[in-house]
Amino acid sequence: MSDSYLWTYPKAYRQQHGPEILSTLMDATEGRPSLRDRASLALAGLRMRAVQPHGRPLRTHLWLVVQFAVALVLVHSMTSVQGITWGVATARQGAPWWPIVPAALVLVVVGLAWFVPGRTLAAACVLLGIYYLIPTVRFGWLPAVIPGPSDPKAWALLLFGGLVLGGDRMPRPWLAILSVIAAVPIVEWFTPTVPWVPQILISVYAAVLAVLVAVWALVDARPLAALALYAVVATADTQLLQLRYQPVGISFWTLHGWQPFLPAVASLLLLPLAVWRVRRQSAL
Amino acid sequence: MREPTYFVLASLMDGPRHGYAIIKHAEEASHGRVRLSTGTLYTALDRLTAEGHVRPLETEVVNGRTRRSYELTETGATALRAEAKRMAEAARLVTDSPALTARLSPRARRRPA
Repeated sequence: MSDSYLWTYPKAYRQQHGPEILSTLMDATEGRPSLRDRASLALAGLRMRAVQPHGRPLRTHLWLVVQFAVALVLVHSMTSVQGITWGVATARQGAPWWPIVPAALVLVVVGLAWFVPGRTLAAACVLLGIYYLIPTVRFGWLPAVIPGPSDPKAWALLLFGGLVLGGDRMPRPWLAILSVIAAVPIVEWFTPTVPWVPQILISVYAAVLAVLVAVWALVDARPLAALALYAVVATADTQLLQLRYQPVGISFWTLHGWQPFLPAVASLLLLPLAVWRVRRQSAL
Repeated sequence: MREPTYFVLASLMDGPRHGYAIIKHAEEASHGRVRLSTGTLYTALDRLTAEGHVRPLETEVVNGRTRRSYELTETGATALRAEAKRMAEAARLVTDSPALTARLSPRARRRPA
């Protein structure tokens, strides 16, 4: 019976506390738990599984939020704009596999973090280092937006990211979110070569991710706060890149106005709400 | 400290209690305001245990039900008293206010606006 009521709880906790929780549940509901009681228990089990570490102060949770936001930005910098637009286009002209290299490296890092917690720093540094060396060593002819070892920003990002990611173990649902984002170029690469397909895929990905994270926020609000931070950086980065390649003589603002920055504004508004949820979640 | 946590700790002041006894005591002590679900109670107990505020005791089987009682630790008692003191000070700010007392006195109420 314990498995049908307590299936969302971690196995170790269920084995240790299952019988007493069931006794309390049966006493409190006179032996007939309602659907609401079961849902409440399922949610509590998921929270217990997700919101780790327990009994730690708010700053620990906020630090994890920053770590995750940095991880998202790193993944973004490796797999987004350059990997998707120029990457796929260039790849189809003669270097068929290179756009999926950074995505595959990220998936390897995430895999290491999943199976070997505490080794994320070393794995991230080695693999990101390899990635930043790749463009110059093998693909020197690619557009200048690909960061190479001569780009100090890339190394600063790598160092900062490595230091930030080297701390606590990252919860597995968060690693799954990283994998979903990193897999975009791979999924895109295996889709038919229709020019507008990548755009649709990205929006579908974003929508699916947003819904999943919004639902998961009921259990753990920390990824939502990190994604809000990441969305600000990603939106600004993408739009500023467009600004850089704007044809001479035409103003970016005349063409697009403020509309492209709306997701960043929405994320800035979402951020305090998410942090409030994190505060509430971590309060005793 | 959130209200449910306060009442969970307060229910352990007089000695160890098991889960259902904590739920009942918290509801009575809060005049029905705090109704803990089983899931919420055990999440709170798990966190309070991790913080060192409560200590789980050995399980025992009573009338076919498995029970585990929880007791308040010194850390928990200190935190509970500090929270109670904080709330009492906040309450005194209002209850000891001469201005508010005068405003709500029967004589003041009779005075036309």
